[in-house]
Amino acid sequence: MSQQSSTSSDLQPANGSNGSLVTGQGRTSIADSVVEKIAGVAAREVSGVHEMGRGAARAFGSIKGKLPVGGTGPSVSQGVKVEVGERQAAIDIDVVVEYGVSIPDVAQAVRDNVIQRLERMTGLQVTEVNISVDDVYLGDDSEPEPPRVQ
Amino acid sequence: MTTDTGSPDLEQVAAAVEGCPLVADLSGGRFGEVAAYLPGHRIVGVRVVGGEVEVHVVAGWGTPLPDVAQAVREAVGPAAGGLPVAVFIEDIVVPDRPEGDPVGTS
Repeated sequence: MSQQSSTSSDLQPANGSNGSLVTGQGRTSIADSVVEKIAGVAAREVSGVHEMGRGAARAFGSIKGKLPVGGTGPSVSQGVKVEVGERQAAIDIDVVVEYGVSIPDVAQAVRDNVIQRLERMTGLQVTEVNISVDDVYLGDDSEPEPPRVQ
Repeated sequence: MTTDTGSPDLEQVAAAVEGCPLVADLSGGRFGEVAAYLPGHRIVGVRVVGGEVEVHVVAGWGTPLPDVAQAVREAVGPAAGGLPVAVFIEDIVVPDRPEGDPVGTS
């Protein structure tokens, strides 16, 4: 994605002068919701991830998305919980995977992408990414079958 | 609000931050309370607390946030009156519908 961030050592937590959150000229604080959004986007980017959030959150999210007022669909941070310290972050993610994928592989891909995105974009060191697979998406069964006779 | 040593010009700070290309907007914080309360008006997103100029921003997508913070600090520059500038990334603008987006195009 973007430019200037770094050399080859992308996964190196930002202790150097450039990416550090604590500088001589003042500190930088990143709100939890920012970390949640970045983690949510990163997790959704991985193919095999169908949706995010626990059952209740997904139900509310889809209702919210149908409301005429302020309905922008489920928020990108749905299904993500974070704990953010001054230099480190820990992430919990709830996902629904598509049927037919290797869940360990998808989970590892989500973990890698979330860590890479977060460490590059926030300068926080990600200590852990816990992924819980809450459901498997079997395909859209609400779609009407095509008529058998013309 | 304290105004000591070379008191910061908060209007100028706010204008400088809004002009910063990596910043989408100033942010009033979760409850919208972060502001400099001046006679007649308020400036949302900046205030002086404990000898620090606080700048609360909504970052644009795609640039590492420490770089955004650094750009904010550089933009504010002398308007801070020599006080340290604490940058709070309150929110981030997420690109449209990452879902269904092929990997890494955002």
